[in-house]
Amino acid sequence: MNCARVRPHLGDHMEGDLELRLRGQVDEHLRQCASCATELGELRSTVALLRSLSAPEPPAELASEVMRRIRAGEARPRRSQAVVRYVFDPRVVAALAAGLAGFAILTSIETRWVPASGTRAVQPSEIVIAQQAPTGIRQAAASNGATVRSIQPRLTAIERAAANRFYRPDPRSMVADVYGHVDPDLQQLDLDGQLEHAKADPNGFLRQVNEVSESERRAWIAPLVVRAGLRGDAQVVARRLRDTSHPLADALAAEFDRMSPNPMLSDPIENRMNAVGNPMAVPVSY
Amino acid sequence: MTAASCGTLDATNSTTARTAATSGDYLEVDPDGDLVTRWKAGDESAFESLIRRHEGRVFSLLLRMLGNREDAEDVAQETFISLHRHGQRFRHDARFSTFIYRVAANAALNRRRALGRKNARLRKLETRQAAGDDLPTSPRNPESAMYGAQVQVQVQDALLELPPDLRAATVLYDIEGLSYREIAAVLEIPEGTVKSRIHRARSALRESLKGLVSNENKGEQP
Repeated sequence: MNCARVRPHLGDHMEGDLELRLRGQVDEHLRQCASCATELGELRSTVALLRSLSAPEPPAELASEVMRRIRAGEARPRRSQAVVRYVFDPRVVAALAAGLAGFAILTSIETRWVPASGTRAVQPSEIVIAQQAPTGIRQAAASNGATVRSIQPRLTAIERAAANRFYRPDPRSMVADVYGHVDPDLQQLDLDGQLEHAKADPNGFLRQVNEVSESERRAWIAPLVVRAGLRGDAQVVARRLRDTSHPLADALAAEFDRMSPNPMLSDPIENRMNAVGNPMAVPVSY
Repeated sequence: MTAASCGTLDATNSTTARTAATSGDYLEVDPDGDLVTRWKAGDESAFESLIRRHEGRVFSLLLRMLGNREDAEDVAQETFISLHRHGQRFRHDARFSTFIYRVAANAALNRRRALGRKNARLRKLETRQAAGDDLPTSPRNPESAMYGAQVQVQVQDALLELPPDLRAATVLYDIEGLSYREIAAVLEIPEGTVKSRIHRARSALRESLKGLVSNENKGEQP
């Protein structure tokens, strides 16, 4: 056996998982090849280091704090978290605006379902869910007393396409929702903030992107690219990324470059929809 | 408390635990079965007992996945609250401990995505400072306690450099002592993928920890 055939088996060799004949062949190679023997030794040392990590003591109050939060009602299902992301109806916006002083507070209600100080909670019956929302969200909303109806009759085809992309749920939230739980942090992803970060510190941004897996990267970047397209600065982001020498720069920049400066997309869609008084203009964030 | 002793795998170390879990009988008796039944019947004290039984392993997993105690504690609390909220979905088709690991691992992966690891480097620096400031690029006196603490930080840093899916696999296998089959159930991926991720993780860690492992490995024989 040569090195290329032996190396994939070193992990199983270390675990004693190789069948006898193959183990004999690997051992024979290891006796003759210092390089593979060294690699096996280093792998063993690596695993020994991992296994030497001391087991941390959990916080002394962990169980009691969890039970306190459960008794305070935090373990009740919070489907409304996801529901509120589909609030598009102008009547709801008016009701919210009256008590909640703007979108910033709306965002906090999205994730907490708790009114900010001096405001009131939004009742499910006040919510109108877009017919276009995913089935699960619509059903959850309807079971909470919300109304479901189509709310974008005046959008042109291209605006609908752009709006649907813009408001499509963050795929990461869908992943998090496997257990019916939406991590509040996921809903507070600041797309604009991330884009500004990408422009101001492209190296730092690329380092962050490089630290997640391929599939996570796709899920992360897709809404950013769409958002940059809607903002009209996708090409600026692409240029800033290309200015770096990071190995991911070109691939990521190409994603942003795909958002060509189509006037229908680069013209901020919120403005276009505001101009026709369309409720889809409510800037619901991720 | 060791990682193995605080969990439900009836073994005193991770290797023995892995052997027991791969012997084909680990679904026969779930050590948590009675507590789960009592909890589902409305006994909240049984749920608290479940937390106390698993908090060590959950916290250890989360600390290795996230790299700092503050995040690990936050996510550990969210994990148990989420379990309480959705525990009725547990179907007894795997051990309850597997279900807990699944929720915890998903919560850790989601937390890392949400943060985008924006503070990871800063936190690493804090961890280094807490462990005695600058890390050695080559081993100093291997007998010293300070050296041991620095090695631990270096290994934890190397773990944090791994992509999260590789990190989860190697933490569950090499640190928490789960079997390939259990990890496949926790991460909901095929066993072959588990093995492949562990292999890739170890190779990457070997590169990251070159200074440590090449010194420890002098004179190694097959």
